[in-house]
Amino acid sequence: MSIPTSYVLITEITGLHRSVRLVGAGLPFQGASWGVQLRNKTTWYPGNAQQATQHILGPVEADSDWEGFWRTTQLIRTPAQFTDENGETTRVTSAFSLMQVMEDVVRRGATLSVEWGDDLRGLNRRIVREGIADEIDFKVDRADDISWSITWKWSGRGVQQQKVAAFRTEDLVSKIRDSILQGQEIAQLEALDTIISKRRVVRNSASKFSLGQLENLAKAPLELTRSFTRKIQQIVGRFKKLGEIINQVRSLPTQLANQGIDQAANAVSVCNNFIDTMSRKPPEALTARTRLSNLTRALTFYGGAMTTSKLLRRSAQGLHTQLEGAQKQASTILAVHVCRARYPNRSETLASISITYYGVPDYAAGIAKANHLPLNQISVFPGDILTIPTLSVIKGFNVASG
Amino acid sequence: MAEYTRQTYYASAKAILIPRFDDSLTGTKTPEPPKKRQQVRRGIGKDKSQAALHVEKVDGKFVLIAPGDDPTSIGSPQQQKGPQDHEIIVLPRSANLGHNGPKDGKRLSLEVKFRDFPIDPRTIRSCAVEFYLGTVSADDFSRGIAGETRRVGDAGASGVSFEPLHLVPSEWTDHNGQTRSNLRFQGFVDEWEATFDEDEPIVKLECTDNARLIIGQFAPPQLAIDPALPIDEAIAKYLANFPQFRGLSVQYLGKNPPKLKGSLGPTAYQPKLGPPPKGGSGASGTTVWDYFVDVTGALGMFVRMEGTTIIVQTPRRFFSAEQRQDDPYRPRRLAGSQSTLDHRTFVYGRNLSDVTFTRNFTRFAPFNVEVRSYDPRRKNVSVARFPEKKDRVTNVNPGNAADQKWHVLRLDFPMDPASLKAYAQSIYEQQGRRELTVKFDTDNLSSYGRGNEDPDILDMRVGDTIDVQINRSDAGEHEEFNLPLDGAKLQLLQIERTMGLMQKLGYPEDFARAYATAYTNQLGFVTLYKVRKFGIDWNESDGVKIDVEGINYVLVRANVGNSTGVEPEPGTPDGAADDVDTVTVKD
Repeated sequence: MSIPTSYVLITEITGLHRSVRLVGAGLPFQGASWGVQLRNKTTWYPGNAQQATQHILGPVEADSDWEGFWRTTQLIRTPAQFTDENGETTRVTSAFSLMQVMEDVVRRGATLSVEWGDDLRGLNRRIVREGIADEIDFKVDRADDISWSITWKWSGRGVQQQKVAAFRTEDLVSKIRDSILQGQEIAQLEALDTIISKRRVVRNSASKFSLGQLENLAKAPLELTRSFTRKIQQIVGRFKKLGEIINQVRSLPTQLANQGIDQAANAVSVCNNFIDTMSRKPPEALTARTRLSNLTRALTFYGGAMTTSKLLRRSAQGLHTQLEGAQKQASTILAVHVCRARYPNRSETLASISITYYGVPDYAAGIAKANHLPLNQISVFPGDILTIPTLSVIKGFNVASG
Repeated sequence: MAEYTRQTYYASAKAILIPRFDDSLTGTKTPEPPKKRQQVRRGIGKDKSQAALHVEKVDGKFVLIAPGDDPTSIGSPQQQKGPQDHEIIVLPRSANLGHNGPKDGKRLSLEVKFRDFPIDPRTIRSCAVEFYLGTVSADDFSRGIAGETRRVGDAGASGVSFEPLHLVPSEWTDHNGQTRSNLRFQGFVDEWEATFDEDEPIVKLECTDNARLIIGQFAPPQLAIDPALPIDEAIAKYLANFPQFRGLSVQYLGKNPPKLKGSLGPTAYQPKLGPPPKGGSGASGTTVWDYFVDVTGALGMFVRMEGTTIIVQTPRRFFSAEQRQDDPYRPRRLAGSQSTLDHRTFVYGRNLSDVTFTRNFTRFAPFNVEVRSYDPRRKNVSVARFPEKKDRVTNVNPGNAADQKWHVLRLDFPMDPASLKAYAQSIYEQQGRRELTVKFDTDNLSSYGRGNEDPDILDMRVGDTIDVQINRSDAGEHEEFNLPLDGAKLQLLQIERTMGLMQKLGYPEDFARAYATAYTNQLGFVTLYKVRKFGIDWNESDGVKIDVEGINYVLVRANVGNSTGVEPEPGTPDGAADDVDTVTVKD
């Protein structure tokens, strides 16, 4: 008995999330048809037999018509698999049962993901479409011999649709800005222990605590606060650099996105540690004095620090997610290159930049195209910022056609 | 033989909506009725410090700006977004953009699938609209389909966003290095409709352009245009009283903008105050636009709105064959041909699907114009006529009896003689002299000679000159059309060929020669038309279809013009005042 390698997996991606897997004799005749139609309009003008006008409006997935024949005698050897809403999988060997299952799946109107796969030699070749079964038709010769046909209307290819506006770095920049502001606010905590006077005329004088009050807070975990703020200061500094670069090049190279993700994760972790440690005691318990005013000040002080660090954690988490999205977008950018003067009165050339990043000077025109420069441009000015695409992108450029 | 240009278009459209939401739904603020009736409001009222606009001249235009605005970058009312405004980009299922003529605003009908409409339209109180339509290159189209994006916007307050590469960009650079915009419409939603039925739910938006702002504002009774200022500046200063006109500009197309003071008789306005709105006040329904039509008409001019600019010009300039300065169309020469296409060219047999020529000999026949203005102070009537005696329109009836038809207008304000003459000429040149009308449809986005890389038809405007030709080469030969572009030699050839054809058909030589001469006369045979109106239909399944209506407003009559060949300058003593007849009225 040969081992079937092709399969069709029909999964409800809405509703009950059931699935049917067809193999061997359960598969459609002559394979499964898949098609793409290019929407267009062709106009032949009267008197012009040589040149038609065409409007190309983009591809759509063409409907697919499948036909097949289910025989119980064959299904016994290559049974279909049905997975119900509870995740229980059963083997379907009866043609009649398979008909009932498929009819029920179609009737419920869920959006279906239909996957054709071929596991031969581990190549993992797959075709995926999403849509609905527009019509399913069964011709029952006997309960064990049923011919069937199905018409699929596709709505997609099972990949995330490209949005009209893919993503906004405005969000990214604002997230970074929030993180910087909140980080700076936390970093001011450290400055509090340098307070030397209550008088406002004295530089760096206290605005919140007097010396006496600070003594009352002596038992408070100032070391923890100090270490926390130091780390936050470092993170804020890196966020600032990231923000500046994004503002300058208006894009995000891969390695910067990676760095940003690391920093955001770091900020989340640092905030978590601080919040965990501080949460072990109520803030008002962090002072030895029992006077209400001292308790209130301590509560305000450490409560504020906690709130700000929670905010920072949240914005760092948002930044993390945002940067991961940006990283996917940035996968076509290898690096950002800041042009410099090589010798007095001589600047870098696109060919030299190509050598730097790709090892050969051949991709100078590709770099020019990626940066919307004239293709015949040779040199660049010191201080110019160029986006260096990945090699796969640059090889995809048809530079000759402009 | 000229080279064929590939006519494959990658057209794409997008609309940007900037909605404001209904306050009443939020429960935070209850709208209050205005304290005065709208029609008797005086713009911003006495407290001008709050919202008064300033007028600043930039590149020949008077721009209306608020304190602190940069006049070079203030942008249209749609682009003046506050922090509460956000752009929503939608891909329309279909759109119809109507350019309805110089005196009417542009209209846009948009249909958007409800599932693509991210907000429920029932929450919208008002909505600004920008509509973009254009083409993308084949390279961008294929890369966009594969998921590549382009960066749009700037890193600033508006942020940077990305859009699919096969979506129409807002701006692009053409093969001449010109930066061109794909913005085809800016305006506001007048009416929306959401339909939920058995088919896919659809949201329909009916929009009008920025002319709505002016048409919707009543003319306050005590507010008048300053007669001592040039007309463009005077209009701009008048508009500065209304804060909603921030970002609009006023431009005079011509050398020396006239002043009302020199054109109107002194009794037509109060000292230090311009002519009041006709009918006395906004209570009678006179809008700011009506008022401008009146006062510019008194100068022999007309006013129209183009984008965010209010343009004042003479009809002659508008209807002349002169190419407007901001037209991105450049005269083009076909490969393998010596002739140059000075105007957008449309050829039946090449790029037109339906062409209809019509001519109405009577309904639109031109009338001579007589304008009469009574001056109560001097107690006489000034009369001006146009055209001049030798050029007057004369109808020859059967039996060779000549007859002249006159269109007589009586003005209810006094005008000086020179301005009266200009006024008569203006009326003559604006009247329906549509001897020949052409209507055609095309699916091409570029006129003859170019393709996807230069969709110049989309940049066309009402008033532009177009060249409509008929390719009469034999169907089997596919000879490149070149009539009548290759000069006198070809013309002679055409005369001989046409004469020969007519004589073969049995017509006498005299008739055949007369017809052949008329048909091949490059000056007299009309192929140049002015665009009277045109519409652009976008549909996600069928792409773009354009229908154009042109009229031969232009050259034939414009060549006749004044006997001196000089356009009369209103309000100047050396105008064509000598030709004005004056009749004294005895009372």
